[in-house]
Amino acid sequence: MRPICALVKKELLYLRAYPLDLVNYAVSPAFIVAPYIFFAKLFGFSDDLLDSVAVGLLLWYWLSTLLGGVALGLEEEMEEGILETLLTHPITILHLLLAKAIVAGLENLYITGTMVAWFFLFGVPLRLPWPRFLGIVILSGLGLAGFMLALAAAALFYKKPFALYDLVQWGLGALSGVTRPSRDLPRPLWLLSRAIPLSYGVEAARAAILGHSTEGIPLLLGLGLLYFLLGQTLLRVAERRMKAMGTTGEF
Amino acid sequence: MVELYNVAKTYVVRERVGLFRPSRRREIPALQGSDLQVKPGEFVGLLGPNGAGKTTLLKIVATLLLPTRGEVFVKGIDALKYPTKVRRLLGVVLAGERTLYWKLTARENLLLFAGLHNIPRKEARRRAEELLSLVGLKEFASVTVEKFSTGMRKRLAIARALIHAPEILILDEPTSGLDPHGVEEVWNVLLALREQGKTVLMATHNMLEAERIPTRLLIIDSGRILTDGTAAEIVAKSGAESVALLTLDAKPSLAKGLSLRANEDGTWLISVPLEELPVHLSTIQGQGRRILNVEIRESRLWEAFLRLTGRPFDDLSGPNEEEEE
Repeated sequence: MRPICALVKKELLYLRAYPLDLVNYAVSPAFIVAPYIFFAKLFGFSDDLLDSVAVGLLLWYWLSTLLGGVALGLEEEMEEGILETLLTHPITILHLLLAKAIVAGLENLYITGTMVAWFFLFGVPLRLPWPRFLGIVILSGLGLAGFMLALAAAALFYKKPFALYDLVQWGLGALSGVTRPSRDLPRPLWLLSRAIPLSYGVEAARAAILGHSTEGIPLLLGLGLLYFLLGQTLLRVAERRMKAMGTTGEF
Repeated sequence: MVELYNVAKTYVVRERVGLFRPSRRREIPALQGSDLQVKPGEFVGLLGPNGAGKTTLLKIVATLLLPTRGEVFVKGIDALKYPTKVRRLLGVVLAGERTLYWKLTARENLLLFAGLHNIPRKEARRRAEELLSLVGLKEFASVTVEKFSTGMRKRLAIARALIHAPEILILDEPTSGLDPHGVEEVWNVLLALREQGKTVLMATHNMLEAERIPTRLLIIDSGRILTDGTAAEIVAKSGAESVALLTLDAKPSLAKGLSLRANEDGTWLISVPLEELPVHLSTIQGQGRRILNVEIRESRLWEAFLRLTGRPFDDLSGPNEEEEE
């Protein structure tokens, strides 16, 4: 546990070096939230639907920040040229990614707070069952761990996997029903959405708002575990290949 | 302590041949079946020019690189099967400056890396202070690394590698890119480690460093370890001899086999074996030539390298050699 704590502390100390990042985290959600609220209001959506849009957006923004923080987190180490040195210590890449995930989670709490504030400012008072909602958010984050590992593996392999990251981020958002329930999608896309753990997270969050039961959680966790195992395998393959090719220090 | 058996490494690279043509696969042998045994308490230097295979060898020991073939053991542990266990025994300083977090202070860096070795906080603080003193950075403990000079970063990197009191220290060119003052500072740290009996495997392409610091030296070139021994033994084994460099006002007429070179200022430089100096001096004076300068150059590693490989060691540039000459 101590190595993870040390890495988490390092990430927090780096926030000290770039304080404007915290301002950015507070301001940028407004630019993400505004268009969705604008269109929802423009088409006369009810408050319930507004909540529905807001919750999907909140969940997706939260998770895409987590996904980016973890999947692209190694890029910071690679760019700084310190990844090789870190890997001469008795830690694995999974340790590094776990630390990134914890810090991304902390950053997300902050972002969530500011985003909720923006929703209020835009006249959308979120009537969320917060403890239940945050539980779903955390479980959805766990469900996405496999995608994070797979993207981190791509980062080790391709060094700059932005295209893949964007594809996964937006693809997950669209298919899991961020702004519109995924049952409204065309059937082939709906079938695809059933294979994405986040879909069950978004549905569970919406059900939580309406006071319904959240049945999809076991599926979310089951699928998440499957993707985790797959992602871990990909990460191992990428790490081994990197060591065989001698590209650990390259960026 | 460190054992390598028949270790070879071939890099596979892609040669780019334009924007649209497919790249070509090329194999580059970096190590060609090397054996090496480092005993406890030895300070072993790996001397060779750039591209000789030094860094490749060190990275294989440090578990950063998988060899194409061969076996590696650190304190009896198979480094290829149990890399994490091996890393607990090693302190590694890689070449280059980016081996620390620049936005953290010297102390924060040491505490971070102590944490990675699972050292309790109190113990980590004590060791960090001790090491900051050892490398002469105590008064800069709270300064971020980005403000440090290259030499300070190198010294802090050594302290970082020592934070968990490793059994073996691996150093890749610890003085490259430093000015003479910085070199001297790092050498002092290395000499202190040698005095403490620390087991060290260090790569260098600096002849003077190779002569002064390690207790045992290996000359490596084109991926092969050519010879092994103390610097003096290697020089003696190679048959390299001490020479006198004479600067003359005009070209002399001398026996064949002696090195003779015209200088830009019209003077001539001649290199003669030291034991033949009296004979050549009388010949030169007999020809009426004036001797402007005499420099005695004791037999050194660079001559040994020349004799071992048949080509000059062409990476001698740097502050140390200038200082030496």
